[in-house]
Amino acid sequence: MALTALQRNFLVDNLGVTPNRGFFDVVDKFRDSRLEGSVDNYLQHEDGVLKQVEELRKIPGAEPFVLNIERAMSDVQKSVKNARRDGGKDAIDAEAKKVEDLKAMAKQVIDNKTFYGDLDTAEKALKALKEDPQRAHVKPEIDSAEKDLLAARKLAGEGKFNEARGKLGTANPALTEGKRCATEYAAVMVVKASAARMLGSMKGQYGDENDWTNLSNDIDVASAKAQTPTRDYNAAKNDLQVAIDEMKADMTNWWVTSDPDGLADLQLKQATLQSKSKDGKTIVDANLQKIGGIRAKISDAVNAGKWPVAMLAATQELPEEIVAATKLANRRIEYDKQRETTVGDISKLKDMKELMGQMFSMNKLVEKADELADRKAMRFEDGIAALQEVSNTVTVLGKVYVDTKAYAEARLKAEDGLEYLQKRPAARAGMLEDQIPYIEKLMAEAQKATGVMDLKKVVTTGPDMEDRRMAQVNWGQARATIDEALKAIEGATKLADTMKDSTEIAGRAGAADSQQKIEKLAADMRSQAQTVKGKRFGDKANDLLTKLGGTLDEAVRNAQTQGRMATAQELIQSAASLLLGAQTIQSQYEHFATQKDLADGRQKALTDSTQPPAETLKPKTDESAKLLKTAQEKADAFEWQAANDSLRAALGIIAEAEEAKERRKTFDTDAALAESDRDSLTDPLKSEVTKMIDKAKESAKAFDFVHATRFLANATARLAGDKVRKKAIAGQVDNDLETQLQKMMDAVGGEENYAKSTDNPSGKRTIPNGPDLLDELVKNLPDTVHPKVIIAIAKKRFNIKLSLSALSWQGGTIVDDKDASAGAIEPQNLKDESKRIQSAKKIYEMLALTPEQSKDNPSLKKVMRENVLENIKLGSGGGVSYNFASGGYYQGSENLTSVSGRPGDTPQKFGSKLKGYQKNRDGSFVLDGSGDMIEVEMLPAMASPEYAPANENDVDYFDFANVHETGHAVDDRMGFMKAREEQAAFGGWITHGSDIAKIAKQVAAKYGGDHADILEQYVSDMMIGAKVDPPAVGPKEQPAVNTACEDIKEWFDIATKCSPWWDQGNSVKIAMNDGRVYQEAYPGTWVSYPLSERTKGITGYQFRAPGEWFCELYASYHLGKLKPNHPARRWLSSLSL
Amino acid sequence: MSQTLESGQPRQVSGKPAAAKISWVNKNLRVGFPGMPPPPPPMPTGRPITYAGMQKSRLAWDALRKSLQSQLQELEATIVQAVEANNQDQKAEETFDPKDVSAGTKKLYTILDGLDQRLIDTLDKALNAEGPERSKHQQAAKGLIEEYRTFVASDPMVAAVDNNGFTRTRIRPTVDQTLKVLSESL
Repeated sequence: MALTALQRNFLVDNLGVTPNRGFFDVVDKFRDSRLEGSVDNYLQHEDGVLKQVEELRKIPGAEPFVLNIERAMSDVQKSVKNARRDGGKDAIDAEAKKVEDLKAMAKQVIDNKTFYGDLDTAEKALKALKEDPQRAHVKPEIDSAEKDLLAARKLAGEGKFNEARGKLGTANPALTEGKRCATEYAAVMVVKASAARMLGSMKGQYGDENDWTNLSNDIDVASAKAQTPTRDYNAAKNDLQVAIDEMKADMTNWWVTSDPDGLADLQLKQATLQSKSKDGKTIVDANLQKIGGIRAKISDAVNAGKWPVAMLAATQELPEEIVAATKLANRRIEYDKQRETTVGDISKLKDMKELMGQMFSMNKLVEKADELADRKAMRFEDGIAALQEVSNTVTVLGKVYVDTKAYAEARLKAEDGLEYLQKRPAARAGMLEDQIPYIEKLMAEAQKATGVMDLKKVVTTGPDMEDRRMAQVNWGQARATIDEALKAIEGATKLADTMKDSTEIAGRAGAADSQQKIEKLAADMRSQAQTVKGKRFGDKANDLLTKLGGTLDEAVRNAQTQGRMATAQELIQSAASLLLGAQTIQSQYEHFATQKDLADGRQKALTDSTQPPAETLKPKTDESAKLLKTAQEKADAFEWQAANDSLRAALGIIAEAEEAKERRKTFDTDAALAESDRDSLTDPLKSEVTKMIDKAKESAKAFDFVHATRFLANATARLAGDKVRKKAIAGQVDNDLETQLQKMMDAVGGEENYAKSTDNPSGKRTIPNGPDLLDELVKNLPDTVHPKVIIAIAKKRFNIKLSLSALSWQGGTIVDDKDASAGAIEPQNLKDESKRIQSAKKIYEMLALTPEQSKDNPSLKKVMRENVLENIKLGSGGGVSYNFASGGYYQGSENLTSVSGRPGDTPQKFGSKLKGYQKNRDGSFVLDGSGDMIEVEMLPAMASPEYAPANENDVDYFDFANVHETGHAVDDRMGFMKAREEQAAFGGWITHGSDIAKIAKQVAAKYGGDHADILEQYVSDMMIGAKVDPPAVGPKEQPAVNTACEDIKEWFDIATKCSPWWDQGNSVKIAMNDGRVYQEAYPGTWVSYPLSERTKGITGYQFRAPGEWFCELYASYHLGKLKPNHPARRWLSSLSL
Repeated sequence: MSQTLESGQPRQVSGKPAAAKISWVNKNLRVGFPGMPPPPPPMPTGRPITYAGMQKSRLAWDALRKSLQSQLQELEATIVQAVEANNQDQKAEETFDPKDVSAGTKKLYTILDGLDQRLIDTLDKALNAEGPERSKHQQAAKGLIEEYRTFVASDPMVAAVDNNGFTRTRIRPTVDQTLKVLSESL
């Protein structure tokens, strides 16, 4: 029931409830039957319009109408719904009228379906053109078409279809032209990008830079032809293609057709190596294969239009590989030369059939040396040394062979002689009881001395050299012993011969049974006694002979006396025994006496010696004299074996004394010279030399001539050092300086000169050797000496050519001549600025810090100081202003290191003092308001304490740079870092060569987001210096792509211009999603490493490139900056092994 | 390969520090004195009040409020019911949104807001106090009664409520009577 008026009023007036007075109730239900006529009319129109809308939806280009009608209908329906009872009918009728108008408009569109279809097509074409990457190029067409199409639609909306069609007709050609131009222009842009890419690749490649500039201009001019209003696309493309073809022809000519520099030489070297190779393989085969691969890559890249790849491969990878391979070939050729010599030496063993078995062992050693001279070990020079050792062994083997063979032959002769002797009747008769044991004893001694049990084996197969024990045998002594045995055999043989007659006589004596026989026998015995008597023999023999005469007289008398025949027979037999005894004694004595006479003569020569004085030999000669005396005493006592033993011992001592005499004579001569030189010295050098000579004399006195010679050489080196010093001060570079330097260089070796500990680079030897003394000498030379002296010394010491830049006045300006001759003389007023000698001394000192690496290093042939100062200017007042220079470089192709600056100018800092300086993107330093540079952290916090420097004391940058550059030569020689790329323990470095696509992928992925794929080419182009614009894409994507390109440009600027290795922040900034820092280490050389490695860094510069990583650690190690537990020490300390 | 060691180690570095930033404070600025006590109220005056009178007054006012609440609730229910009937009536010229109606009926209770519970609270305090303190609360109660009288005299809802057309109520007379009694009791 409806509310009463009172209720309604209370509700509305007092409770504030608003009544609803519309035609639709609160649930949208129409409820006023009194207005149904209007509403029905409205609904009828509404239904008609809605049907038309459905039809409009099917007409292309009518979408705007559908939208408009729907929007209008929405408003109409809202108005109808909100219509109030008061004036409601008018309102609904008015809305119905509007609906009627909409119907009419829709009908007009439906009746002009074709027009709207065409309009729709044109509008879509316009939309596509506005989204075309080349939309900027066709902006006039877009603007024109857009204007006409808007007008066409407006006119059509007004029912002016003829005029609308006119506008549409104007717009369509503009759209067609726009599309054509966009397409054509895009095609030109593709060619232009290729040309720009190629131009970038060719920058710096032309001998005449104008050629490149002309090409650059040609490309600009050609590109301009495609621009509005010229729009001569074909001409642009053709001209661009001409430029590309020209550059391509140059590329092909330089990098494909022509052989690269050094390749022919390398191929010749390969042929040389092949001629020495058994299987035709050589150490540079892999290099040449790689070179072939690179050349094929270049050819493919040139043909495929991958210019950056071609350029990087041709200018970076190929020369680097050829240089590395050539150096490898050179080192291997030197090895092969020595190998040929050694193999030749080994083949000489063929001439000694008995030693052929040793060839196997020697060849095994050659194979071991071969292992040092391969790509993995890279120790060709060590291999050469090993081969030289084999050659030495072969020489020793040959000598030992001669000795052993001579010994063996003598011994066999002695054995045969002894065997024969033992079978002689005299021996069987016991007449050689003294001689044969003596001979056997000598034979045993000789055997013991040689250790050779199987003599026949020695003679037939040669000495066993496997352990080289045979070389240690004193074959001379053994041979002397066997010779003594041969002499004893000879004597015994003679005695046996003699005994033959005596034996016959003894036999006749037994059978002498008549006076006649006895008289005849006595006469024969007297005749033999005369023979014996005519020789020198001892008293005992004389006694026997005297007794023999009496006995014979008695025997003859008895024989002549009847009945006394038996007595006569006994006497004649007794006489025969006496004769035999006398003959035996005579033989023994004669043998002894002959030997002793010789010994006495040699002894006398020793005791009478004046050079050296007999006194120096007294310990030996006293001993031999004593032995000689004993020998004589034993001989006098007919103790022949003891006599001969003593005599032989005496001869041994005499031989030693004779050798000592000769060595002492030489030593004394050298020592006298040294002392003479010493006498002119003053302390402390005089005392030092005296001390060393005294040590030498002490050793010589003890007949230790090995040490005596070494100590004397050390003393000589000190004396030579004095002469070198004086010559250095006098500026005399002559043959004598060379001689004196050689003396110093020769004073090496010996256990008294302990080598420096490999892991204690700053340690000293117990006694400095010659080179040490030379190093110390150079260090202490005054700064007034001429640099040419240091240059000469360095040549001798390290086998390197040292050159030093010099300042001079030329045309009123100061010129820094890096090619100054060794003898260049600087004006006095520039000398102080140049510090040429100080630099020379410092370079020398740093080279001497690692002599095992700087001396005879095939990768270090020349060391330079250049760029003394920078920005030298003459002031108006006559003064000179300049900036300090510093740094250096290593040039592998020339085996050259170079450093700039002077000692003491700048420090190398460490640890917390290690700071970089903020840079602008163009590489210049950022300055604060006061014009000062702004510090930044160079490295992050260390990963663990062992990576921190041992201390934070500064090192002179000149020193550090010198050792650093030597490090490059070490790395180059060993191929150290090249063999260790991507290894975590060695920085995890990658040198990308021509494979810059990998870098482009990483960079594009980090900055490009969804557009990474299309940005990779942009990154690659930027990396090779091509002038490229951000890729053209649709208008929606273009801002994001442009932003990404800006980010990529920032990365590129930091990676190429800002030396990011000095700046931790910049390094972090250019680390990619894979955690690696990608940067240009040297022009055209791209590298990457894990950012996390910086937490293990010793300097920022370490993170420029693999080689720099090695060298900074190398220099830090040798200059005492690595902690004892720094992980790199392990491999740094073993580099020289 | 040429490997150029960059001579990028800067050498001329000034150790001059950046200018120190000064934090400036305006010490002359003052921001009032919170915690200062308000001025003391005037001392109460008038005749003495009986305890029973106060207790009676308290009960009367409480009963009034309960009575008013009961009448208003009945009125609200009747209005909602009547509006529903109106909205369902096809011949009704107007409809009312139930949500609007529900919100509107809440205005009825503004009467209870005007005749609030403060009087009960004040009388409770007076009953629990002695001497001057009780007098003080008594005066306050009297002040409240005056305030209620003024409210009843001026509030349009109080004036219209008994003529609502939905149900019979006796709100105005009941309030007037009670206030009169109270005024005399205190």
